[in-house]
Amino acid sequence: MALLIVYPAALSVFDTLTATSADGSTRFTLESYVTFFQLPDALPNLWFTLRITVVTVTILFALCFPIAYYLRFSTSQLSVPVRFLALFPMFVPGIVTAFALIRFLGDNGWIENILFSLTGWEGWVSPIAKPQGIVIGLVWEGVPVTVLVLTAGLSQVPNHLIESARDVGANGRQVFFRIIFPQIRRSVMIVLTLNFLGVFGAFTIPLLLGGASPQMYGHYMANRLYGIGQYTHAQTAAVIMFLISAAVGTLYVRSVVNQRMEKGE
Amino acid sequence: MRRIYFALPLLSVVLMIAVSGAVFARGASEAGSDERTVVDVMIASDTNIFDWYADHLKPLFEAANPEYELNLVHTGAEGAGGNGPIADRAYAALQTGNDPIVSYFETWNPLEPIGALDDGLWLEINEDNVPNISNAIDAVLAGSTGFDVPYRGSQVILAYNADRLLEILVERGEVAAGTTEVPEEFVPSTFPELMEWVQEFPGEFTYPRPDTTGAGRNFVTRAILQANDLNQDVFTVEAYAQRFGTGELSREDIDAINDEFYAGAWEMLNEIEPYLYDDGAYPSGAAAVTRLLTDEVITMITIWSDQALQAKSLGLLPPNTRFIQLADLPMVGGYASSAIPTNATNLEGALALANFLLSSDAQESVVRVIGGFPAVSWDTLPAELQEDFNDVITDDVPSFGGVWIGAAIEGWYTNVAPEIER
Repeated sequence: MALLIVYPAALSVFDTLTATSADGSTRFTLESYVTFFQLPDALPNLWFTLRITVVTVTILFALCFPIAYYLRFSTSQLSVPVRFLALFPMFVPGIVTAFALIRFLGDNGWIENILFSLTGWEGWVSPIAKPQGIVIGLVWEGVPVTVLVLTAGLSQVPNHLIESARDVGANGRQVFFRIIFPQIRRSVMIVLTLNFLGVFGAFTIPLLLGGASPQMYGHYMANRLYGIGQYTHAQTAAVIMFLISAAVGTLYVRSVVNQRMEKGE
Repeated sequence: MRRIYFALPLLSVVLMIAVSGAVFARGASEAGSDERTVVDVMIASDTNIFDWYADHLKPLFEAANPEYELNLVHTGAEGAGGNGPIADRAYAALQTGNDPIVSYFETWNPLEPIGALDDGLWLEINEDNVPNISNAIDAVLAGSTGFDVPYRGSQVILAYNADRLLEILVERGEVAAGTTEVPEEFVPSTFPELMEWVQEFPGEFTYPRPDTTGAGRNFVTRAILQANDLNQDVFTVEAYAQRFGTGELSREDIDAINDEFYAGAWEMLNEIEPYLYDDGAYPSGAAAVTRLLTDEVITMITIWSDQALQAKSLGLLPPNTRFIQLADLPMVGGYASSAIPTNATNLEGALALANFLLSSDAQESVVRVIGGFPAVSWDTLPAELQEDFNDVITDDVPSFGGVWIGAAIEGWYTNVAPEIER
């Protein structure tokens, strides 16, 4: 891992922080970052990526927490198909998802045609070529992992704790905030950070859905490299992505390590 | 029940390892038993080209050259990184003396990666190592660096749904109901006419992003040529190298190129933007823009001639789809060029493939199967071929030096694309 990841990553960081002077000596400089952020689209694209990421992660949590909660505590037969549907996207490649969504939600797609034939309504505005299209695609992709992690976290809450709380008269809200939530705080942290990392670095979905501009960073970086041929800018963008991901990754590692230490491992 | 779902991902990983192990084992045993050597071919082009290799060229080549087996890798699948990373790997392997695990790049520009040509990564092509290169016509060789094998041509054209256009015209009362042919004045035949057409029929035309497919790139370069009095001599590889060198473009160079050569084109493209489909939701890639025509969302798109012909013959396009090429100056086309790294894993096999691609069998396949035009003289091919394909193939194939593209993509993204307000 040191050879395949740490070494080349360090090399890249070093490259972006140095420049070769006319006399051949290497000096430390922030030049590549200054010129990078002078690009008219570098900052807007970064904000756009962060905004999409935060929105997607929030929607994912809001959508998946109730599902996971239901799967954990429901004893009904319905939970089997719900679980299947929640995990299904995991087995569909991103590119298939993207084109399925285009056909489904796009202009003259299924939704529009169904709405039209049922109600005669012609006002459908497809979200596919808009930033919403990226969010929809990424949410679809992120559901299985989110549900899996949250269900795993919730399954660690012992039934007897909840029952004893109920016995001493705690109502539903108290059970949730005093008993369940404290026990799954780490799972929540883990799912938020994992989703952040996945969405922030997404490539296929933002390439195929959404508009031409602004671009998400994974796509932007590839464009700089293979479209325009600016190796230095692409490298700088990569280091910026790496730093942001590393910061969020630290939160994840801390959650996992704390949990292990408390368990005495 | 829950345990099964947690086990599923694990199971699939185990399966994947097992399958890939089996595949490797199979490859090894085949090579050992009948002594065929594998030639790894990296195909970064669209799916139609990959299918063409898999279904036509591979069987033809292997029948003619039983000592070789082609291993086709589609690096151009959407989401895959193209041939860029493979070329980077070959360059790195050259420097460390390792096996690059590639023998043939189906399309590649030997001027990349920067510095690789000088360091001897790309093989110089001549009549000694690829005898059939002597069949290539001058127009083909003019665009070649000498380190590549140009072997198939194609051109971006306009495709329009004639039935849909007629319907719009009837609805507007511009033509009488019951008319069966679109009157000529409603079909653009020059670039200025196309610009007017787009504004006359709002929402009915679009072109894809220039970095995602040639159908977008060559529409943008056609606008650039329009803004430069159709003077192709401005945009040659030599003119570029003289002025900007062969290194990485600086910010100043990009700005200079945009101000001096591209500003007029951006003005034109910005002018039509409000009239494009979805106010300029430039689709990503050839598949996305072709879908708009197929699903009858819009009337006219830009498309590669080979993809257009293939899609039409498969019945994917609306039944009354017509093709047009601009009469004042066609849209840029060009010849796809292969390149062979000097450190190719199977150099002999790669050279045999290059020679095969310029043979008349393969060249006829270029025309018949993918609707491209040949890199060799028509005289060497059957006469009925030219008659069959006369409608789409023109002799006029403008060129636009590939090195100018980077600044154009940058310029398009910063000048044309961001004005979309959503």
